[in-house]
Amino acid sequence: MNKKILIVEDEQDIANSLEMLLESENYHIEIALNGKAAIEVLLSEKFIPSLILLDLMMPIMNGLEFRQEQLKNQKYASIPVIIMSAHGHIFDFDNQLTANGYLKKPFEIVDLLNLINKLI
Amino acid sequence: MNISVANNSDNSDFLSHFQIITDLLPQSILLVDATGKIIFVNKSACEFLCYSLSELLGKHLQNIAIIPEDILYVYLKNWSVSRTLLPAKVELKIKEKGIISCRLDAGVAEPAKNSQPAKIIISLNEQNTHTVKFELLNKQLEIKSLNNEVAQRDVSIKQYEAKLKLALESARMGLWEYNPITKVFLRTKEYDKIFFGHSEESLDYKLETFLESVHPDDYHIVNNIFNNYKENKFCIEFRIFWPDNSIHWILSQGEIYKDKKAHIISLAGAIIDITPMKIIESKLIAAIQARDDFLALASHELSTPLTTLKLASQIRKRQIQSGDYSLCEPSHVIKILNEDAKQIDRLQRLINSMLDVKYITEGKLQLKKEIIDLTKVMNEIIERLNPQIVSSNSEVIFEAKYSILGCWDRCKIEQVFTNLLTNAVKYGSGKPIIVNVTKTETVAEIIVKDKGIGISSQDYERIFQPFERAVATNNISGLGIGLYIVKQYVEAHGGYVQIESQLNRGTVIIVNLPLNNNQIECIGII
Repeated sequence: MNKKILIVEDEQDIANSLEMLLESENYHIEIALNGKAAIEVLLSEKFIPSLILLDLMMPIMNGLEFRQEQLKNQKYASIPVIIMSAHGHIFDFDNQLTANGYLKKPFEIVDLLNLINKLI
Repeated sequence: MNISVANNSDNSDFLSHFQIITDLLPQSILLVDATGKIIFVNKSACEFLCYSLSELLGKHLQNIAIIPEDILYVYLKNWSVSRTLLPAKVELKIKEKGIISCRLDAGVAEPAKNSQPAKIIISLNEQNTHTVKFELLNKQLEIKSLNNEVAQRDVSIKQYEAKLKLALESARMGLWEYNPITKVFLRTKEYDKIFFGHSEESLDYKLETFLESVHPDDYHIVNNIFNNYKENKFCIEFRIFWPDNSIHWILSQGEIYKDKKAHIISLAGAIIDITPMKIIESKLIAAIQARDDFLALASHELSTPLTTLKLASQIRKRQIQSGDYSLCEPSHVIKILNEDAKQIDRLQRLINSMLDVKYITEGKLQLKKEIIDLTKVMNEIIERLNPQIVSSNSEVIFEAKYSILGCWDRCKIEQVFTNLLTNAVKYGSGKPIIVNVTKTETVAEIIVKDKGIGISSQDYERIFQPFERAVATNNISGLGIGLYIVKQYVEAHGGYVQIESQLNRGTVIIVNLPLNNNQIECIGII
């Protein structure tokens, strides 16, 4: 059974490219355009991801707020998260995010795939 | 002068008068004959030489004074003419005082006549007396000289005082001194001006009065100086309240004087009002913060299209390397080129916006005016932004009844409309956006109305500043320069921008551009 990855990214083009890449690597993909939409995906229980790729700067609910909500819910708290952000000091958020991996945009897809393979 | 000695009855009256007169003199007067025998002395001489009159009379001068032979020879020469003799320094053998240096003045009182030898009158003055007198004179001169010097210094001090006062006033620097033992708090007029805004000479000023004027948040720093401060020098900044309750920043530097037991015995310092500098400082800090925020945002904004391009190119490369050549089909290539062009356009827009800010802040904004139709330009912008509008689940309702022609800079007006619409899409919460373009006799009016998150009235002014936005930067992308550029471009055309907004109700931005009647035509209903 293919593993599922939830992409939380407000830039549609980036989300689409990641979807295309990861589907070619035989992952099942679901896209959420902001944190709130991602929470709704989780709560619907129709798509329980093995891993979440999370952008930080997003409208409505940003990546940090999503991560805080995710950690509050025991059912989803253990799902590993990779943060991908263009923020200059992405690691400054480590204490707040306690993510499993960080990728600074623009990143190499090899790095992304290696990180995913390590985590799931 | 002819003087006769004792036993000469003709001169007895004169001698007695001479005795009375010379007894009144402080100098020692002696009369000796050509052999040196003393034939007359006054009272002062008896006292000075510590002999009685009877002991001295008949004694030879050589026995009481050590007189060099050559001098003695001159003095005791049996002078036949009256004359003054040279003064000499002699040493006297005085039985109770020992040997004393004296000045000896002499003159021939009565020249030798017939068988009568010459009589020499001698005056003795103790050398020390002269020295003391000279010393006294010198002291007096020294004192006089010192007085002159003091007077000169006094003048110099007054001049320096005047200069210092002028310097302190020019520098707007106040001086103060506090004695914790006497509780006296001394201060200059300039101090009062700094602390009260005007001179308060008659005020009964105490340390408590001073501390009461200090801002509560800075009280601890200031109070510490007067109590437990370990250093001997201090330099602090603190806020004070003026009597009108306005807040002013003070820089105070000074010294703390302590006794051997480290108890404070005095504090003195200088103060200046640094409020203007603090205002500039806060503006500079805000400007630096805004610049740093802008750089972070610019970096983020530039990274997004770059990430898209980089991801796409890597994916395509992987596909081709894996033997999938479907990307090479013409229809696919066109699609790829269009996708890439979109990202490149986005990068270009970002860079142009940054350059716009640079030109505005450098004052190099130039307008290239031409006749344009505002309605048509707005329509084009709405079409251009359609993908963005669609992806935000919003729609734009464009209300325009006629063309509005005028002389404006097309690129700048396009930028104004783009920024207004982009903001409405970003902050419009996916609700319909109403765009209205109309005109009065004198102005063209462009209204962009959204029903989104809105802006607090306290942020109205701020959002037109560069690198500012009304909401947190971690949610919505953008450089925070959109409305700043709108305002600058509209004002460059002689127009103005108004904002009406309510939190969670939406925002209305109204742009007014002046019409030039010679260059405007109303073509009619579109």
